[in-house]
Amino acid sequence: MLDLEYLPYDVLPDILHGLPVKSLIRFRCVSKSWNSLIASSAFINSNLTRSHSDSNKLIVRYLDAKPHVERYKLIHEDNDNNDSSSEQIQDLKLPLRSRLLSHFQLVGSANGLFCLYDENHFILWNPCIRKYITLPNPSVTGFFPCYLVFGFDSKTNDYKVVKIAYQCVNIGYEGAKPPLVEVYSVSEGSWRVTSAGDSYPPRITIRNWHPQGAYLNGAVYFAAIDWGDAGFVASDWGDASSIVLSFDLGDEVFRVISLPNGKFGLDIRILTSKFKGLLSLICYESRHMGEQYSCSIWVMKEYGIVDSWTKQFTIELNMLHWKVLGFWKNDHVLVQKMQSDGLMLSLYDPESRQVKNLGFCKSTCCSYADKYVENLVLLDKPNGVVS
Amino acid sequence: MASSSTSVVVSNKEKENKNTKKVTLKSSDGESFEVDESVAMESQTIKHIIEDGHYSSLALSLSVKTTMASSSTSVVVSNKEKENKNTKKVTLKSSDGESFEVDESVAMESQTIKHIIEDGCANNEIPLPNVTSGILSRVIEYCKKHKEAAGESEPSVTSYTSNSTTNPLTEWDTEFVKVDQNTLFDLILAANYLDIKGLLDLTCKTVADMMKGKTPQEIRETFHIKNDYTPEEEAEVRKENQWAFE
Repeated sequence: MLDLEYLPYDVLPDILHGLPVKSLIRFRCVSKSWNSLIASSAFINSNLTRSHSDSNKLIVRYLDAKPHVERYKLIHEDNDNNDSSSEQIQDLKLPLRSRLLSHFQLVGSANGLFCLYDENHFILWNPCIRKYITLPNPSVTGFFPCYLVFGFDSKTNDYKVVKIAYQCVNIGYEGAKPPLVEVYSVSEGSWRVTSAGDSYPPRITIRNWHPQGAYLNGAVYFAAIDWGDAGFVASDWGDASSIVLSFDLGDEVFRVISLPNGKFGLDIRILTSKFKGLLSLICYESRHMGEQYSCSIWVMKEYGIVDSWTKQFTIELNMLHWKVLGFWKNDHVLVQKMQSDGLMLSLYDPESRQVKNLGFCKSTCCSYADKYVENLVLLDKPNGVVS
Repeated sequence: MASSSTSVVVSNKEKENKNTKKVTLKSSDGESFEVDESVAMESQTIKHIIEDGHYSSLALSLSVKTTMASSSTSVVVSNKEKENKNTKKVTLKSSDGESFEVDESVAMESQTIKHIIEDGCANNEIPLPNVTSGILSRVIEYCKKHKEAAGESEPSVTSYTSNSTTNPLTEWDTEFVKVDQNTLFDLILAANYLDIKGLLDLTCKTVADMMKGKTPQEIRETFHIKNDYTPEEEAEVRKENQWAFE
């Protein structure tokens, strides 16, 4: 008799962890005890580590200009086929629209959970269980620039949203007040002002207006500039240097990761990323006026050791208007190519230098592409607004 | 049978006695190393000295410097330990009284058995009242196969994965679980009781694959689960999660 009731209670979760999320959600209807097991925080937390997300699926975020909408698609890479067919692409619906006549800003994504923002209104969205929550407003508001960070603290199994609010116009000036840092934790369900600003190193500015920090190993990393004793006019940039600024989600402290001297000038466009589990930099360098820039990928092979920064490879693509979105399938590069009528998402193999097309979309830009992770997080939260 | 078990006991005891006899090796620069005699006898030179009786119970002078002596000593020690471990056997006894003699290293694929042995409660026969002989023989087959594949180093703690590039035993594992459902469940119970992660992962994943795609009603029927929802409650949960039914 296949009677599951004879199984020791601790074995049923082991079996259920082998199921895809859709089946798990359906099986909430089997019985009340199954429902409370599946929606328990213990099960949700341990499910992530057993997740068997299909390694051939990508989740992609597109932005359209007219009208201003954001669209999410799941793209399935067919290993055997060089073309992508339309049935490999699935639309995911974001269940709400931004209040502004535009799209949300994507703060970041961790383990399949997305953090979106507009005008002090934060949303956490888990597309695979079709659930979102709205966060209460942070207490820190102000006119000055602020940066937002989102990530997963593996020490406490908790997702955090961080608001870094500068308290003056230009934080790069000497004697500028340190930023105020407020953190929202999903498990606490509220914002809390922290003293993290005390660890913010002086005379450092984060590069890029809407940076998407690279998240790895419990911290978020940004490309930044250390102004040192430099002035702000280009001719005074002498002393300024490129660095990486990190914010650790566990101890909530800022740290600086130095870059090798002379290799990353202020004129190079730098973005942080994660390559094969290591902190990496995507660097766009213009060769000459009007000519296509070259893009090289650098990796910090040994954490914290400046000399271990190594150039992994240079991406040579014979076309204009492309950008790197990230990395997939170990060392392959996800690339967006702008075409006259839309965007082509492609996969570049640095060894063979071959490009494989993954999917075309009539959008203006692709803002995010990464492997699709199935995760039950937020399942145990009430829908919609969190008071 | 009586005589065979006697000889087993005798040889184990001989091993024990041999293990406790020690000799001291003294290097040219005066450092002394006390080792088991059996270990020292890995060296043919020392073996002859001992067998010829040309030494006091204390020291052999070796014309080798300290560092070299200590390194070769430690290599010898570990080899011997490995040898001893490999030939050491334990007997597992099923609930229906059948005994299975297996290499200790294979038996230690089970964390439960590993702890019993390490706690010194083994006494060479370990009773497993929760596992029948039919299931135990299959479990042993699994452990042997996986221990072989993992090599001599550590107990294999690889968890099951259907990715054949990372798990060379995928095909073997898949065949292994092609059994009737009762046996499958008994294997789960045994893997849980004996704490064998790879086997538990494999068997649980097999059951999960059977469940995939079924409706809640089919799950209740296949696995005899009582539906404790009222019709209204069930309708509500279903409505909230309607998308998962499409």
